[in-house]
Amino acid sequence: MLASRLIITILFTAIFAGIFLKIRPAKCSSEIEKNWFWMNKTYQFKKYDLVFFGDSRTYRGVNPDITSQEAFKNKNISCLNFGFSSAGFNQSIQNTIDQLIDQNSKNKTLVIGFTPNEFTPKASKNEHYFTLQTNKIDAALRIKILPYFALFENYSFVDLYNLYLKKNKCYREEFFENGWVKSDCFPLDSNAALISYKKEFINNTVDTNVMKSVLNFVEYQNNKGVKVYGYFPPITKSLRLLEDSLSGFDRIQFKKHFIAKGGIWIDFDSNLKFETYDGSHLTSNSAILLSKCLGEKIKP
Amino acid sequence: MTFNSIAFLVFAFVFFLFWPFAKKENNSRWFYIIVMSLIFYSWLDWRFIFLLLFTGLVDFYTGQLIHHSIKFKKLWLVISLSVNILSLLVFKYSLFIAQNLDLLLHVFNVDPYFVKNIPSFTLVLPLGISFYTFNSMSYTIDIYRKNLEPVKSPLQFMAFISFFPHLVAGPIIRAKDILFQLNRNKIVSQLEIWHGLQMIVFGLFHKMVLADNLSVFVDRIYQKQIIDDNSLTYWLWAIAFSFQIYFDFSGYSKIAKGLAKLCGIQFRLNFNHPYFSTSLKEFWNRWHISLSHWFRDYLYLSLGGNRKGKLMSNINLWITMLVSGFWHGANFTFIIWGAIHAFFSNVERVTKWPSYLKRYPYLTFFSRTFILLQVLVAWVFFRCQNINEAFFILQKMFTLNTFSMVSFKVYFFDVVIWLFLSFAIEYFAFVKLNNFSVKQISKNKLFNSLAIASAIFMILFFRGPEVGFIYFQF
Repeated sequence: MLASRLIITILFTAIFAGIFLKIRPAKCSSEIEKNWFWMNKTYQFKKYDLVFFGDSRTYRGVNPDITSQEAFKNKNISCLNFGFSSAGFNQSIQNTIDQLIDQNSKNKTLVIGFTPNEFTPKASKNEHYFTLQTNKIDAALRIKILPYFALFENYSFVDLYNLYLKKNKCYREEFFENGWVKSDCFPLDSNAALISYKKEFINNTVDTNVMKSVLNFVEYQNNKGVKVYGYFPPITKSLRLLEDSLSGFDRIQFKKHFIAKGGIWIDFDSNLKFETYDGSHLTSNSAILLSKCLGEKIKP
Repeated sequence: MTFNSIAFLVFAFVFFLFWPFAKKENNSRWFYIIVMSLIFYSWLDWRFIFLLLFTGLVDFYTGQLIHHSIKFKKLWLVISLSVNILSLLVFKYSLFIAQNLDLLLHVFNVDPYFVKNIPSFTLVLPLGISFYTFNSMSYTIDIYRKNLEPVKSPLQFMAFISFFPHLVAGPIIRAKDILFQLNRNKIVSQLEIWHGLQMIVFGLFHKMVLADNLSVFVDRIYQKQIIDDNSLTYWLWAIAFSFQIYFDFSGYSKIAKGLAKLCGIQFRLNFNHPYFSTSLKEFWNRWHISLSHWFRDYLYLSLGGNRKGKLMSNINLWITMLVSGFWHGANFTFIIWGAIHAFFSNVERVTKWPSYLKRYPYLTFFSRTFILLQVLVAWVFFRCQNINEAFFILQKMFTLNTFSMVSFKVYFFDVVIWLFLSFAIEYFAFVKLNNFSVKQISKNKLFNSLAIASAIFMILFFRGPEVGFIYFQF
């Protein structure tokens, strides 16, 4: 009796699922892949020669494999983009970054994409990183098992409506094991991020204590023999003006202090044309270009 | 771990793999339940296993002492209740008490800074504390009232307290309903396995599909990610939240009941289509039944119930509802939620309006709508973090203004579909109870399998974003 009911139920489920899998439109971005990606990035069980850190401009803007290939040519360099959304520099994340770097490596390198938001009190909470915390067994289970659920991508009715009619903008994301999120958004809107950044700095400007802590961290890593590179991720001029005026961040002074603490600063050729899809985040082609440029500047 | 997580899939697989062997003997059955339940509990937070074990053992031994003592029965009961209530006060309400004492004393120019001085461990809420303390207290109170004999084995008692299906978010189980079930090796029939699996699937559907999809809209409006200043938006919000919390909690209860059934243990019904109630009295016999009956039996009746005249009866009602509100959380919004229910229940008692309307069957629609309206208004306070937010939303709800079709297409398309589906499912379930032909159709093997297959299909492809169970925070 139980067996027959189970068989009939499984049969019906398979028919419904089969029909849906045949007719469903492809999603621009996979939720399951996204969940796997963040869990996999947060729970690292090994150390790396080359580590990138920063906020979304970093994790969307840098493919560490391209950078390491460019910088270290044919050497076998392990690399990770450890960027998180609205990342900041609290002690906990500094400790985590420190543990990620392979101290035995001859090429140990840390590259940080600095943005004004990273020095704010709100970013220091590292909410994105901390919401991903769970126990290690749970993390390991998700990392191992989630890929098997890739077929069962979830949809909303609005998703289906928009995807079938090809309406509204499509935000494409592809998640890489090295920590890079290849991002594109159609249509491009270079002013899209302005509104959110205007709100971001209300009662949330750059904290000099956070800046001091970061500079001390750079010095500490430098003393341990880690080459620390810094750069400002390319954004639109209008966003840069907005950020600088609202956040209280002085780019020139920060660059000066960074170099004084032993950091190596990376500037980009002004002739290079980087393109963003919202003013803040690089398109995938520009991310590849930035990764190559970073690789050219990093000296083994 | 939550019931809708990958870790729980693995846990449940392992649990039921060895359960047929473990359940053969009493001691092995109880020991297995305790060990696996503690693994389940500590997955989310291991730090408070000791509190669970401590309060459980205190109640086990005080239960023995209450039963055997002649002179000091009351003392042992007071000790049992004090340990449980104290652990609730310390871990759940200490910050609330400290904040309000600081505020109150500040009025008299005294600044004791209680908030700064409370120990940090009291700021973390142990999972399930509101539920397992109530389970445990029912044991000692029933022994005191001579409704139950104490069990001899601490393993059996701890198996009852820690049994994982109900440990973290209920239902609140009475010792007298479960202890004897734990004392036998029940052979679970094929039909019972089927019903258990069915309950689990429908529970997951309620939670992962209906509740989690509704939560998207509810959270976006609440966090002002959608600014749409018309009253219909906020009415939709209130209705969406009403169904979100219902399906979230009833989903959890269904899963818990289904899991227990697979173990050969019966839990009582915890939700019985409350939104079709024709009075608040009926609502409280359909919503979170295990909690409302606990408060009725152990608080309301202990205060005297309605045996001491109309005035005392109404006072007892108010006390019970306010305490019930406060049980849900350390915030004045929950107390106000309880007060709203107390007020409208009082009005019902005094005016007896539901019984007048019941005489005219065509008026039941109006009584159901009126009850739903009262419950909706109360839910606004339940959802909001503070009273100002609640009044803001209520003001928006009751200020009638224009509605935008553009907003509808952009923001409300999904939520209207989910609400329609929610209502349709609830209506079908309600009609099934009262209509023989519909009941017969739903019992049909093919229809039953089709319903479950549809639920699984929706869970696979139309589940909402992963959201924690609402009642975990209590």
